[in-house]
Amino acid sequence: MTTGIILLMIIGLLVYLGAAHRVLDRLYLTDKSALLIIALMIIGSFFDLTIKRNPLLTINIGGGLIPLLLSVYVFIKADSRKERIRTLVAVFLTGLAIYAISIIFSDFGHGRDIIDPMYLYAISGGLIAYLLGRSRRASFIAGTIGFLLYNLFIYYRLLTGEIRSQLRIGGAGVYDSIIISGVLAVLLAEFLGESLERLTGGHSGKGGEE
Amino acid sequence: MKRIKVFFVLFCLLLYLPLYGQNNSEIIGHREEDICWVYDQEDNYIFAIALAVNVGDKYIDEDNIEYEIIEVGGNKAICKKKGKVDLLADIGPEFTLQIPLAKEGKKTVAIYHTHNDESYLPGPVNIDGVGEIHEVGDALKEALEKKGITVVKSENLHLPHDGAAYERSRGTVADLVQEEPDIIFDLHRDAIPRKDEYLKEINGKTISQIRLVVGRQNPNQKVNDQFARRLKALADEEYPGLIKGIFYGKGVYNQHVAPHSLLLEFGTHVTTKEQAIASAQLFAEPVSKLLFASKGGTGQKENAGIFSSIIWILGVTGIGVLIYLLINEGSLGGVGKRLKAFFRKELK
Repeated sequence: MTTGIILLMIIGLLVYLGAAHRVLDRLYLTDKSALLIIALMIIGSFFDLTIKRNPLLTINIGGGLIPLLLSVYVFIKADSRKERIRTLVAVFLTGLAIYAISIIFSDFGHGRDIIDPMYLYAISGGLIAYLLGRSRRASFIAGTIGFLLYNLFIYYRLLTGEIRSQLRIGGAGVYDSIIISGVLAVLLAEFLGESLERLTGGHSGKGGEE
Repeated sequence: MKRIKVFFVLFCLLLYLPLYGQNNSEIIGHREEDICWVYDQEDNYIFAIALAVNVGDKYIDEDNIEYEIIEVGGNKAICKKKGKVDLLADIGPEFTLQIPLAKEGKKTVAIYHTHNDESYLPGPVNIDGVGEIHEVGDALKEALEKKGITVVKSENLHLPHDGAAYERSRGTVADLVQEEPDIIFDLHRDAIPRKDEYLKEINGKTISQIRLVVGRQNPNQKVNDQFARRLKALADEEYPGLIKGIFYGKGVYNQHVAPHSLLLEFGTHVTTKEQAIASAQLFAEPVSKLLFASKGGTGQKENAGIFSSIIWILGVTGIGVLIYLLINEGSLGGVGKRLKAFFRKELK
């Protein structure tokens, strides 16, 4: 690889991680702990944990386990029982929506879609979570766990023997859809939330926290 | 707001309807019914491809004639002929066939298959995991290794062959990037039903041609475009007709993870595995020439494309942040204040 190519990859990653850092800032995390989480995600990207060998099921520490633990932490810190229930519903609907979208548009990723699935799954997760919970926290959890849930639907199909394949949850590390979905979902909630607040001339409702 | 929520939830539930009565048979790759037939403005047939075609997509054919899609309706698209291109001169006078792609030292190529089940069989049929496309990958690996190139080939499975296959294969690309490859190839096969369009006689042997696909929706597009053109220019010198063309389509194809990434279509479902293997063996030659080119040895000529990619990334990010701040602050003055407050907080 030439120096230019390495520089291009680093700058792309820095811009992306910069956005991720702003997102983590919104999730009860201090600046330093947000940076620590990002560092852990980068380091964790190099390690996979094998959960089951046949059919193969692994979870990447940076791309799967850390976002999962972070979601659990954010979920526990939720303000009310109502917010938790809304979040769970959003997670379930997001997982199903991603599964449904992947089946309806079976040739996704070949340009036959309006937008690349990498963004579409995240945007649908963000929209569902925001409209149901109207909170950045719920959006993050629905974006990340929703995609993880979708992975589990697929794994169920592998377990039944319908398809011969393998599943590597969070396998792309910081570039995995689990993280991209979470980051985009919060950015979307932020964008929608602040815009709505501005349009309505004040708080957009009970979910307008943080 | 409550009504919007109810409508939205109902809309989400509607999305799940197709899950009932869903046909479990997996398709074996790109499907014939997804083909787009492309004609020029005089209604002359130009090409067909099983990838989606969108307005703004470009195509450089076997003879280096460039076309741009100007209209798409169903499975038919209209393109505008832009004329013959000089593959190398158009990307910069400094590019010649003698400029190597990578620095001196070990040369590494990574190979993987997003659609593991693609085979040289008319579909749809059920393929149990690994299709014949893996054998084409093996042949390419062997041919490259004979030329002294290190090849990292992933046998990871990314099935089902649904809309999220590229999501799953991104993990494989991320793994392969850790091996610091100079080039990453994702091997596929096309699904146009006309085998004559893909067959060619080279050195007395019938081979199926290779189509290069560059994704237009990613920041590495410029670098990948240069890479594809240089590869085709070298192949045109060595084996004219081996490369069928370069398609610049809407899509990411995981080419954003690392530069020098291309999707390759080896033949179509009505050509044979043997013909695809024959083309893979020839294809190793221009790849090797590009990696081991004799002159320069620095690969620095690519920097113009790289810097334009970097400016592209930073520009899009900057514009996005500015739009977001403008919506939320309502004025440029407000944006300035918010940015000032941000930097005061971050830099203190």
